[in-house]
Amino acid sequence: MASAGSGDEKAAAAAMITLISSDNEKFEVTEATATLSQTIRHMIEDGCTDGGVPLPNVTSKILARVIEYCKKHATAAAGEEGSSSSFSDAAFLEVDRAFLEELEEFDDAFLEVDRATLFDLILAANYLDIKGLLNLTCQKVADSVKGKTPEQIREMYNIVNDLTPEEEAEIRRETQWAFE
Amino acid sequence: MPPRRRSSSRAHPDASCQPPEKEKNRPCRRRRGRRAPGVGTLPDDVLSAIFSRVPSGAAGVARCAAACRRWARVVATRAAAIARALPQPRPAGFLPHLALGVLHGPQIRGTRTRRKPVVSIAASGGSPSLRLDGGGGLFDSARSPVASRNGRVVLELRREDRADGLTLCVCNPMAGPPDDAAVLPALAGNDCPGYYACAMLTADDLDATVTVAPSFFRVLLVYNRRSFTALRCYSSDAGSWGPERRKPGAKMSARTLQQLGPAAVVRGVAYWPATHRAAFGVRLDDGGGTTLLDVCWVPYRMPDFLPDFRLLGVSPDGERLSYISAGRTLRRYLMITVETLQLQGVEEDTMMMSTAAGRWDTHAHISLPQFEVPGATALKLRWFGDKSGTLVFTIGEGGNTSGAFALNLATSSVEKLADGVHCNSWTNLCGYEMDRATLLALVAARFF
Repeated sequence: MASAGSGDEKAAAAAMITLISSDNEKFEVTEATATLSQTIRHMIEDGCTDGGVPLPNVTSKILARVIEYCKKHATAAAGEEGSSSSFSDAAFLEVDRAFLEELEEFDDAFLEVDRATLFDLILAANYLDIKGLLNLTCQKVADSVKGKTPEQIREMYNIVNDLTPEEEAEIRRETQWAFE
Repeated sequence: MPPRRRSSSRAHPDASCQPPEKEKNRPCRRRRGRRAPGVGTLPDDVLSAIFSRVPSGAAGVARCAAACRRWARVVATRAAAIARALPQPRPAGFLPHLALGVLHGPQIRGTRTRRKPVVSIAASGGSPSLRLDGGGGLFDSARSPVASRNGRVVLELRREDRADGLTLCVCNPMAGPPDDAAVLPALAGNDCPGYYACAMLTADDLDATVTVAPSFFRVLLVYNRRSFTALRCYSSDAGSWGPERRKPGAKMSARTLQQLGPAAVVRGVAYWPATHRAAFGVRLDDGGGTTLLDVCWVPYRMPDFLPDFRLLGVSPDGERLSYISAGRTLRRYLMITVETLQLQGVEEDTMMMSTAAGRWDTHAHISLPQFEVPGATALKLRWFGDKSGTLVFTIGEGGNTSGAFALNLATSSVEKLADGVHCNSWTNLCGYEMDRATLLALVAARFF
């Protein structure tokens, strides 16, 4: 990595970054993909990515999914930037709409994971500071509690009810308006 | 027998064998702990980000807060940020379940009442523990409430000496500690206004894209000088009063000024029902102290109502100005009429919106046959809460009933807040509506 970087620094788009998962698996990604993560972007700006970026909080299984997301959305970002010169407006809008729909489908499919994976993705998105992914995954959890009672929420997420029965009765009374 | 005992001890395993104190900082964990991560692994910031996106709004967040101690703590400690990020409930209409209260100053006439503190009454609203106590005796040092909006109240503090001038204080009477109250710098000497009308703008009135502290507010005073009517604005971000501005046009008569009453705030503009022909508006949401305060007049099409029989409000969608008036049917029953005006597009024309008069629409007639209105002095429309859609009015002597009442415009239901003819002589009545941030903070704060 270090030797390749020295000759052709200016080809930033082609520059590759190595990400190392907690179980020591290496992933090579383009800089455009990696910089969707603010955390990695700052590391690149500080010039401390030589020899790979260790991510001790992210397993290879989750990192692979995160990279999948970033690759897709990095192309989306690149498409937006390059579009104005290469397409006429009408044509661009057409392409843009099709692409956005595709992206939406991708996101929907991406979220088809079990709860444990979803939480791991949230943690990774939070740690790597990837706004879009954090937004997407948090929204998924938020949507899941819609219309649910506290009992159903506890059941769904295996939360231990640590409120005393008195406190629970009190909260019932207090939040009566929330159940109407 | 043994099976029954076992099942009952399983019903509340934590309640019976673990003291609550120990649970305080422990994350909610999976019941059968495989090593797969549960919600317990999510940091507070992430939980807060999730709660901010709950599609069912404040009610959904309140239910989340009831799930466990940790969630309750996150909701309570980050209530302001969560409430601000939640999808705005406005298009869905008024929120009749918001907790409500009423504050008022002493009765008019009678020198003995001067030292009486501000009185508060809690109305219903689904939160039985609602207690307006002014955050530890703050009400005791206040002379009277002068404005109220989005869960905060502007109080005029009592002065020991005339030279002390005017001191206002902005507080949330539900959110405990009095140090949260902001005491504004006194306006003394030449700065001291005489009789004044007051309006407030809070962070909830600003576009969600504008980033301000949740505690942001602006207070506007309208008062008379010798030869002109003056406007002066306090901004919490500047931490000081802006310069006194001269209202363009003629000076308001003292009588008009005293009859201004509470303002309605629509899209960043405070409106008062100034005269029998037009409402007086002052823009509050732009630069505040730096730019000139924009002023406008919005003409009515309604006939001339007595000042006590009219009030300005806001439509449920928050877009339209409402003119709420009280009338008497032929059988002397009370009839409330609500007319609305779409302000969007009109408000660019800052000076005189000459064509607006024709664009008022009648929105609702609410007839209240249970109230007999004997004469013009026996009824006062006092305050309108634009989040819950509640109209507060008082009725005095001569009818079949008297007291202070809250009418819900959405449901037409009426609640009696206080009994007696004296209610009609209360001064400076201000309603109180709890804002969503306080609501969430209070619901959740009780459980950790």
